[in-house]
Amino acid sequence: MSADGAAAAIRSFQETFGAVRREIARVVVGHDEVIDAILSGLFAGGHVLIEGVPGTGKTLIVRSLAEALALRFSRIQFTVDLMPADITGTRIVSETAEGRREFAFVPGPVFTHVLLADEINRATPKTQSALLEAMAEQQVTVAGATHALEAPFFVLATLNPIEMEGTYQLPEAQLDRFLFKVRLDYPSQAELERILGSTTGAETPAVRPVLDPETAPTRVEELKRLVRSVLVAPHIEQYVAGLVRLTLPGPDGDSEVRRWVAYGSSPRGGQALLLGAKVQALLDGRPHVAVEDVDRVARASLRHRLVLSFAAETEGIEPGTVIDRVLASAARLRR
Amino acid sequence: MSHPGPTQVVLRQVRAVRRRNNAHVAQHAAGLWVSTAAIVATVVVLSALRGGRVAFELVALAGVVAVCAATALLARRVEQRWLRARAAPGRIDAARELRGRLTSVLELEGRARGDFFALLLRQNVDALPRWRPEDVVPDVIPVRAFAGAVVAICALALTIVLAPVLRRPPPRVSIGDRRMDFVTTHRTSGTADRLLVTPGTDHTATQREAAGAADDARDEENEPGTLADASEKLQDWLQQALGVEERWEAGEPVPSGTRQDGARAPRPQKRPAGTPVTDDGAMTGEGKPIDAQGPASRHAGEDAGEPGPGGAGSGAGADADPTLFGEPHDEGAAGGDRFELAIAARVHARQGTAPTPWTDSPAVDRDRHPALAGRQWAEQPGHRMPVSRTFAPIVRRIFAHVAQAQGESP
Repeated sequence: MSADGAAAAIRSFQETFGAVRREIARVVVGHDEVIDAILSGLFAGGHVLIEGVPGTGKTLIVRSLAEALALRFSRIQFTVDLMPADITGTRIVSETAEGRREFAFVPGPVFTHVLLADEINRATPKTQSALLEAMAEQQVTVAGATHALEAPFFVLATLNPIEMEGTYQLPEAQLDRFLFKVRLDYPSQAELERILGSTTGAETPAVRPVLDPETAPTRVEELKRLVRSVLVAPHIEQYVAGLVRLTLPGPDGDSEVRRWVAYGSSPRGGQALLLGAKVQALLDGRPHVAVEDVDRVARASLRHRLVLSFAAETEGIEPGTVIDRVLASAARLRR
Repeated sequence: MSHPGPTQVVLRQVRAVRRRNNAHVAQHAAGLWVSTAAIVATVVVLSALRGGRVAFELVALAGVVAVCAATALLARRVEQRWLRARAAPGRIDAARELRGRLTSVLELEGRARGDFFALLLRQNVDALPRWRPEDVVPDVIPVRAFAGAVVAICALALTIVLAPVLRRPPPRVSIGDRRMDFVTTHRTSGTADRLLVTPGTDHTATQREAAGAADDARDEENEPGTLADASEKLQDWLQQALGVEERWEAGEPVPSGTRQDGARAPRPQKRPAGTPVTDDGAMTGEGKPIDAQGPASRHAGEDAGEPGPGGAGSGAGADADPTLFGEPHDEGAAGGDRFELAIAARVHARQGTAPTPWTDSPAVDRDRHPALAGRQWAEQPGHRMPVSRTFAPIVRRIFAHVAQAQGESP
């Protein structure tokens, strides 16, 4: 029975994942890999950073995801004058029925299931860091009082790679809190034609919820626990640890990587690799992680955790190139 | 909850794959090594039979290098393909695209529990037919490698069996009757297609030649156990072991007609009077053999009044002193690898040259120039060098006329 139960749970995960993906695909044309990465990040219990130029569907993807999962959705447009209280909430003086005046906490937009932090790099570091506690601890502290966020809590932040004037580069510590970073590229010719056709007609497609709104948060949490249950053999842990160490500019690593990387991935990168790989294993119908699963999520997991050197910048080397190099040199770790 | 049953089944199949793979790897390597060694041995034997000293040295050296290289390569190949217990699951996973299923279940056995491990175990049991030992390692016996080894061994055996047929033709012996100057050189060659036996005298070497010869001698003394010596010994040993030398002596005795008439040469004081040398292009100019039709005893008689050191003395004919080289004995038994008589030979191997029939030496025509190049006789000394013990029997046959020598004293 136990094996059958596990097989049924995996099938259920696959069905839910596939259904959400199909619903999002009704309104979002293309970007299949990005949608998969976002869903993987959600079920792995992390947060995702999306980098893309304006108008490529970042907001639409996040909104569609929330609608498909029947989860609450909030959006914060980050600007330079955004204050931390605008995110976490604030205390206001209110009068009770007895006529007493007391401070009451008004929750901010962070109290939701799916939060879109649009153009997060436009806010000041102080405001950005207000989001840190929420992302890491799933709670916020306002005026000494801690308020837990309702699970599931999923942050999707976007970065605009252009118009860097007046922006505040996200600190490495904050970047490290995102499980994945994905890049949203321009759609292809065919995708663009489909986008034009589907968004300018009399009827625009709508997303139907896949989960029951009443039980959706619980169901998502179940699926997240299922992901955590996936088996990881010691040789996979060794591989992931070796992969993370290969991103460090140490003497053991690849010479090019040593030249290109100033700071390698933190241990959080390894955690992201394993959690993402677990989702991939479930999608493949396996109760255990394989090396291929780790490789598949390596780019999304490590891309934003590498601090490139000046040499890499002058040579136009991107983090993806470095990760490809790391994966190539990690071949000796596979068995 | 433990799962000893299914895990044991999986482990047994892993062991079966290991056994099968390792047997294949070992046998394949052995087959290839035997093939290589047999081919090298065949070539070495052929070169010992047919080739000269230098050729044999090169072939033997190349053979040793080839065998060593093959051994190293095969050892590396075995090391790479040998399936160790720790690496076996991973290799099977990769070979049969099991996506780490096998490795994970074996590593997690005893550590993991719960539904997911039960499912993993069941998936492994279900996947057992996908990596049956006969599928992972289709052939235990490396047929091609073994066939190659058998063919190579057969070739070696055939070479050994046919060794007497494959040997070089025996050297043609020519008797010269004119005294010839010789200069000692330490250049050697193991085989010759012609031997010249003629009275000789030591050439007064020029200062340069003497220095060169001295250097050669010093080198030879300082390096008594060089690779060349070892190679030469090996070639001689091979020829002896294959029965080539005996067959040559027994099958082709030197006819008695090769004796030359005339006065016996006096016993040499410093070196033998009869000096067999082999002819080559350098000595004859055109490489023509100095055969028995060349100048004979008359020349020897004319030279009788001027015996050189070790040369034929006054009144000596071309016929040699029967005890000139001592009593015949087995040089090989003494462990020598050289014909220890102080004969000199210029060796020039020409394989396949048809031997000239043995004939008695005719009377020397005074006006006729010897077959050796004129400059060779008159101005340029021949090279006198150690020759292989292979030539000992033929020279002994020519000179050791015991019956004739019994009534005469040297």
